Amino acid sequence: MDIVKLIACLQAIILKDHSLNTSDSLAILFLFATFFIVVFINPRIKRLRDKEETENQFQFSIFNGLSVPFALLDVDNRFRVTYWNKALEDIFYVDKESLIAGRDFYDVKQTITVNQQVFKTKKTFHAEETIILKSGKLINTDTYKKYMTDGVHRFIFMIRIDITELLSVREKVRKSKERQIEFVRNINHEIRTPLNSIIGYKDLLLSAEESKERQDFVAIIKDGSKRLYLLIDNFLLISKIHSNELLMVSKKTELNHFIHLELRSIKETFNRPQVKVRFDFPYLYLQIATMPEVCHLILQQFIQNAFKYTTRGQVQIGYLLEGKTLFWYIQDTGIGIPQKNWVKIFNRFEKIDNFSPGGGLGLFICKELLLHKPCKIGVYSRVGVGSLFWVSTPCTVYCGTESINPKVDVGAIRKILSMRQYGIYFESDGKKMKMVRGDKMKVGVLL
Amino acid sequence: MMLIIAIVVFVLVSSFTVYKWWSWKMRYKRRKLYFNMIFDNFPFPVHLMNFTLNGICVCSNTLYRQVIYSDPELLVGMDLQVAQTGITNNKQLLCRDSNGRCYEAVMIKSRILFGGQTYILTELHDVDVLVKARKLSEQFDETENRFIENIRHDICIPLGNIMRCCELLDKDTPPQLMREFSSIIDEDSYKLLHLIDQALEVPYSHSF
Repeated sequence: MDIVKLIACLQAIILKDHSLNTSDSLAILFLFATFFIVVFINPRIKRLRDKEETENQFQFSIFNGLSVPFALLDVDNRFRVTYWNKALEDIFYVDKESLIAGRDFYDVKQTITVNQQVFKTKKTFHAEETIILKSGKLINTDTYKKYMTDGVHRFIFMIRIDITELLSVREKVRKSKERQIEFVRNINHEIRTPLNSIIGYKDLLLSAEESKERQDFVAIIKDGSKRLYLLIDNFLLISKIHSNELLMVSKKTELNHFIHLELRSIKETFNRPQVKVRFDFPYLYLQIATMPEVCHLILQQFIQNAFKYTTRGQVQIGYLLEGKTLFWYIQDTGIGIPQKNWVKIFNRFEKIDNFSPGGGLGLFICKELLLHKPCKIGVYSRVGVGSLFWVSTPCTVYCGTESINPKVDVGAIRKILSMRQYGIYFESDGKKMKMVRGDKMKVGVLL
Repeated sequence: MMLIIAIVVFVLVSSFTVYKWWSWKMRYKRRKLYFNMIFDNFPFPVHLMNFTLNGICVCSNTLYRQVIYSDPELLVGMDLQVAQTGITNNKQLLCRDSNGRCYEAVMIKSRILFGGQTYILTELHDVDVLVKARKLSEQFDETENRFIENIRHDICIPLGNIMRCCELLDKDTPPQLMREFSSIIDEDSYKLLHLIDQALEVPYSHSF
């Protein structure tokens, strides 16, 4: 007990003094043994602790290197997340604080029941799940859950692979499949109808006796063949656009003359004496670089549509140069288009009025033509009042900006073009046309 | 008296330290086991190798051991490149699993530096479904245009005939000529109709 005595004992051992009794020496031996065990084992424990620490860090760095988000849920702690890797943080933008607090970030009742099920049945769970992130974003994931234990701790191992892309591609395939079927059905209908009228009236023509009857039948047959021709022409044009066969070369063009020419050729085909044509050309002449084929096709469609649906009043064609952007527009006083159909008319085979001639491909072609350029194409219309179609293209001006036309008021043109804010327009991003609503669309103002 | 106390101290201290030592040892063992278990639980092939130690395998799962690459030459030099540059390398290749199923997979190799040693982590992700879906969507986009191009010729000839006949038709055309026109129109229109009927069958043949 006494330290003095202990030291005396030690002294006796060292000096080989045999006066020590056995019990004392044994006690000292035991004490020495204890001392040695502590000295021997403690560094080992420390080494093990360090080793485990490095092992932990190593494992975490490996898991953080994984490209797949995964997490461990603690069974004993109400399925809270005990570990998650970096990929999970990155992909799901998990709120780090809530994770540290131990809250499950997919805290939905359904997931808890799934977790319990996995724990009870010890079976692997594998399904597609949609999860809602804190930001309100929906993400489709391929979830894989499995129960695992290392003898002491019980975990649920969870992987969530983002499969949003796969689903979107699948959706795309489904849509294009539908579209194709629809397309062929439409072709079927569109070609069959005029063809049938040709065949039928041709037989009648053979049997007709009267001259007036014959004249009617001949007119019908000719109309049918014209419709057929237009339709096939449009089809071929679309295929040409898609296969990039169209001449996309820009040329020097005098704009006023170009529009006049277009108008003259189309005006003759429509017999509309009550429709006045007004030109709003702010310059006497303007030479710009355009792609004549593209401009020709777009103008043609616009003018055709304007004349087709306008029986009285006026058709107003013009353009406006603002900086490096050229706005074309054509405004008519026709039947107009209800607002719900504004997007529809740019689709393939969409016609508002099923009895009017034409395949419903005109504006679709216009949209396709402008796909690869930073252009915009838009519409604003009121039923019974009229409609405005406009296109904006970037352009290079050669000359003519100094020859201002005194008769035309630029303010009036600007006023007409400002109507576009109430309508919708399509904007291309190089691959796709995106529909954009005008800034003031909801307000709605009379044209 | 002293002996008893010494024995008690010895028993207490030594048992405590030995227990502690033992528990740490088991914990470390468990830790390793646990790592292997997580690796084995991944539903896709994973492999971790120590590049510094001659590419010795640190850990890999059963799925990885069963995978067969159809084109292993693709992977030559990939490890070295990843280890040197540290840029994650993605490569698409064909694989075959233990059931004999052949699938498109993306191999992702990433470098992990730890304790002065270079590790390379390899993952194989099954992208078979995605690749197939992508191909299909591309195919669908193409078919439409190809379809029109293919039938352009077939449509144009009969249609041209019909158009010409219709243009020549007039109310004063003599009956004999008219009969001739009508036979041409008849023939060509039925050709066209037949063509359309054929075209109608096209999309259904592509269904999957």
